[in-house]
Amino acid sequence: MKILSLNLTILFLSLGSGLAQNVASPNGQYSLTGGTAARVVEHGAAIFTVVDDMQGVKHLDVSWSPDSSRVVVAVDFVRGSYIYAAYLQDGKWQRALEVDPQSIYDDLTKQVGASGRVVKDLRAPGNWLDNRRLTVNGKLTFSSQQQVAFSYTLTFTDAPTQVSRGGFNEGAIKGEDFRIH
Amino acid sequence: MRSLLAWSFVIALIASISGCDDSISSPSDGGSGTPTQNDLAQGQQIGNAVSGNQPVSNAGSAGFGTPQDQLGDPAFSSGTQVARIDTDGDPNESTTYDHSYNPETSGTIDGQPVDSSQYAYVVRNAAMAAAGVQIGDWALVTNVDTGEQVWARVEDNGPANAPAGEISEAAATAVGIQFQKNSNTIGNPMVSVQAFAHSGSIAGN
Repeated sequence: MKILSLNLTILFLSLGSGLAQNVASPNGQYSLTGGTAARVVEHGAAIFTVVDDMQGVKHLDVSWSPDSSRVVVAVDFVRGSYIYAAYLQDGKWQRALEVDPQSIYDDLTKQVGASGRVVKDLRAPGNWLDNRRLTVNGKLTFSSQQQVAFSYTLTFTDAPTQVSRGGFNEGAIKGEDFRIH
Repeated sequence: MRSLLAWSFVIALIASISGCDDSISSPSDGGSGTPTQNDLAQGQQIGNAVSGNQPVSNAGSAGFGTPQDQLGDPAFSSGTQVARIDTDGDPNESTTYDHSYNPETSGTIDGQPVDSSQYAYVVRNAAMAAAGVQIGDWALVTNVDTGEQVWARVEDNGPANAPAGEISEAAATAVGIQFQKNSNTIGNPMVSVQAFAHSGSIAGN
C-alpha cells in the first residue's frame, strides 16, 4: 500500500507540472496540448499548431477565452516569456505572436526609475476581461538586479493583418495600457 | 491491487517522461563585483577563421563553422543595434560577475548548454520568433563599425522586446568586440544580426 501511495504521489506531481499537457477549452470542444509543439486539439486530433519550436521551453501557461474561440499561451524560456495566441476567424484557426515596440521597455524603465537594461521578462496570463481582452501579469528584471511587477491588457484586434514569415498574423494581438505595480 | 499498482507505475512513467522540464530556472543573484583589468576578456580568437568558400559572405566562424549551403534571404534583419553580450552557458562565468548570467541556454549541444565563450551564437527575441527563426538556425553577425562578420547560430532566448543585438562572447570576439567579465562591452560597439529561418539543418564546415 505504501508503494502504491508513493506511485500515486509521483503521478500527481508529474501531472501537476508546469508544462501544460492538456488544457481544455471552457466548452470542452478543444484542448491545448504541449510537448514537442503546442497544438489545438479537437476530438483527440491535433488540428492547429500554435507554437512550433519548444526547444528551451521551461513552462507553459495556457488560458482560454470564456467563449473558447481564443487561447493564449505564455511560453517561458527562462529569460523571457513570449505570448502566443490562436483564435478562430471565419471558422479557421489563426495564430499570432505578441511583438511590442522596443520602446515599451524604455517607458517602463522610466516609470520605475530603474537603471540598466531589461535582462529578464517573465509573463503569465491573468483574467479575461471579455472574450477579446486578457490581463497579462509580468515581472521585469534589470541588469541592476532591480525587479518590478507590471501588467497590461492583451487585446485581440480586428485590424487587418499580414502574415509574417513565421506564419503569425501581425498585429492580431496587441499589448496595451502597460502599468508598473 | 497488483493490477492497480502496475497501472499507477505505467501512468507515472508516461507522465514523467512526457513534455519538458517544468521548473523555472532563475539565476541566483550574486554579489556586486567591480571588474578589474584582469577581468577583461582580451579578444581571444576562437575557432578557425574561414573565408572564401561561403557564397553568402566572407564571414569567419567561431564554433559552429560556416553554413555549407546557400541560405537565401534572411527572415529577420535587426538593423544597427548596440551590441550586448550574453555569457550564458559559459562554465567560467557566474552571477558574481554578470548578474544576468544563466548556466543554461535554450539550445544545447550533446545535451549541454551552449558555451558562450566557445560558440558564436545570437539571442532570439519575439520579433525573430515571429519571423520564423528557431533555435539552431543560422545567423550572420556584423560589426557595423568595422565590417567584420561571423557566422553564428540562434541558441538562446532573451526578453521578448529586447533589441536583437545580443550575442555570445565568442561571436563578439570574432568580430573584434571587447567586453568585460560582467558582460559590459568596451565602448559602444554596434552590430547587425541577420537570421535565416529554417536553416538549422544546414551543416557547418
